[in-house]
Amino acid sequence: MQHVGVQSLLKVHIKNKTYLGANGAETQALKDAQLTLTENSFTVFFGPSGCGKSTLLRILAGLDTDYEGSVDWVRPPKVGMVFQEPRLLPWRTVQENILLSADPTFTDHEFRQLVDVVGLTDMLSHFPSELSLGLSRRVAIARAFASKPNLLLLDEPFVSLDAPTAARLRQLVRTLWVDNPITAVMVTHDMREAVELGEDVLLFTPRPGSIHERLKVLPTDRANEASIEAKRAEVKSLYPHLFEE
Amino acid sequence: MRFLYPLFSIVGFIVLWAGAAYVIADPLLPGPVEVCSAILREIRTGALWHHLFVTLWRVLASFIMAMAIGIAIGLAMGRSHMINGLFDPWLVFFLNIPALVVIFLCYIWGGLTEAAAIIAVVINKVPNVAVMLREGTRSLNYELEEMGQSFRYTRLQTFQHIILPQLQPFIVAAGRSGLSLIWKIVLVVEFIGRSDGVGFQLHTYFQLFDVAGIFAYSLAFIAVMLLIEILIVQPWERYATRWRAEPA
Repeated sequence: MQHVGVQSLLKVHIKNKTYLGANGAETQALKDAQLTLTENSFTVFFGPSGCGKSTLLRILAGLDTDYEGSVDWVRPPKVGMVFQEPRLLPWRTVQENILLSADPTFTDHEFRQLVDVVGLTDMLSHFPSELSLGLSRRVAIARAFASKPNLLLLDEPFVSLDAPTAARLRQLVRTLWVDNPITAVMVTHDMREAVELGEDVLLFTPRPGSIHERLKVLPTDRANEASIEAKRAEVKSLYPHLFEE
Repeated sequence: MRFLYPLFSIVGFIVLWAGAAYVIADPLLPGPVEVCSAILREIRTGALWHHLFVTLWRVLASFIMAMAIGIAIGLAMGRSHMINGLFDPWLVFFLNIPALVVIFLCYIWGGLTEAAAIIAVVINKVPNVAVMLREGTRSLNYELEEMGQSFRYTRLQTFQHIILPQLQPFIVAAGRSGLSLIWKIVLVVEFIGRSDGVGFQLHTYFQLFDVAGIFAYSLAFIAVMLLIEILIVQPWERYATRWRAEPA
């Protein structure tokens, strides 16, 4: 929930971000993208592929520092990231994968609780090669929460999952986020995900990306299937360009 | 049944060998019995253990040094274009310089000493290790490093948990080929400029035309290397690759 007067965690203003394409031509990925993230908010970057939303996420993660502009943190940054691919260490077990990235204050009790919630209790000694994509994503999500971040970044974390698995994982992220309030940013091109999880949905312009509009999602919008679908249809009728793939 | 084939092959060879030695009946082709008795003779005098041990020590010392230096150079070359550019011509140079030349020069400049012998072996092996590790380093998965970076892994953590496991197959391959190459070079080094070791003994028996003695030392040392492979290299490799999915 977002409250008036809540502290902001970071202010971002990317004036210009370009990268060199394979053909040597410069592409402008972001132009004058501005946003403020408040503490314990859940923000969604929404837009078609190639609009720079993942680029902005990588800048927030500190993985890309080659841009013009500023990212000002109020507190020291501590990022937990869930990548599009799970990016687990194949040579470490599920338990080791989670604990290697865990915060030093992460207790054994918290670990038991976390793996119970994500449903990995029986899988701790397995290696990633023995897991399905859905289970690997669970490990990646658990790893991000175990790192006790003050900024949780999710880069299309439900992509290429079958619908029921994706729905269960969305529910899982929702549960974890409600239980451990942290500032979260998720990139998606799926309005259902955006409405189900986000409080603020930032609609991106086509490339060069900037933030076109801020859309508030109310609890009533995600109350049931019909309201989610209604919200999706409403956004789609207003901004058809966002749904072009 | 499958494990019997190698056994058949080996027994068949020994029978053929014994038959050929019997027919030719010349000390220049001793049969298995003569070679065995030569081995037993060397064991009884204690010479076999002494020379085996000396050679093994040289092999291990130069192996460890060559691996450590080769891994470091290969890693640096794989990570940095500048270092790669600086070292690459020398890598090609040292890869192609004959082992004998290196050995001669080391002995000439360093004297017929233990250090010169080991340095000669190390110089011969380092370029191979470096080349293999450079390729390994170039094939490192960038996404995993980025993952580590996003979770603020320390340099040590990144090396231990992300880089080293990916290089491990390359290190094993370099180690395997390294061990077999190094022990052969050590024998040459001993042959030319040392007064003990398997290579020195081979030299002695060569001058005496004692083929049984040559066989005895060769077989004994091959047996030692086989034991190292079975007791150390293979179990370690199995442990280190246990995370890989079983082939379907």
